[in-house]
Amino acid sequence: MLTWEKVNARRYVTSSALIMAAYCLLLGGSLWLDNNTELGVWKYPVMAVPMVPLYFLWPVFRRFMADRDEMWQKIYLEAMSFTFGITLMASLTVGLMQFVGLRLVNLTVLWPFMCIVFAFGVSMAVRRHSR
Amino acid sequence: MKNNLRELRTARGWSQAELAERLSVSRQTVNALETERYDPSLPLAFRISRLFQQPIEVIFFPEDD
Repeated sequence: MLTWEKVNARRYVTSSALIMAAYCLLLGGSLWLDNNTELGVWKYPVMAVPMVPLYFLWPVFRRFMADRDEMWQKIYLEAMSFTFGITLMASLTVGLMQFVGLRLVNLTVLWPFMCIVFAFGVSMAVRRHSR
Repeated sequence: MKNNLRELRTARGWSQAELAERLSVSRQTVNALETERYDPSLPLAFRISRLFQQPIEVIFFPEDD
């Protein structure tokens, strides 16, 4: 049986998958252009183009949150606070280490890092509120 | 906060999923309420109160009562 939650979940997964597919396609295109053409100063905006579809993840996530009930909104909010705190501490720690010569960390690792911390935060909050 | 949601639900022969549907919340939320791991907001408490036609203070009460 398909409940409204499953139908909605399918909609969010489909939207997110389409956005990620567009991101991967544009990323591939940007990398191909960078490797095969002389972009000059345009290489910076060209490498930023794959970010455009990712901005559409925000309304998808906002709609996802609005459709949750109050307990799940609380769970996701707790996970977001946890992610914010951990990211703040981690970025400050790495920043301080860079003062004394730590190799520069590419900022693209930040997003997967935050996703992993968020997933961990959700699992902790779920354990607290349900079983 | 303690509550007698489970007793009220089972007295009506409803499953957690049925109660969740009537309250427009997820089944996990009903379970968390029944196991007293989550305290509802005032609007949800009023919805529960209206559904079971009982005053809020009959359904929800402090731990020391």
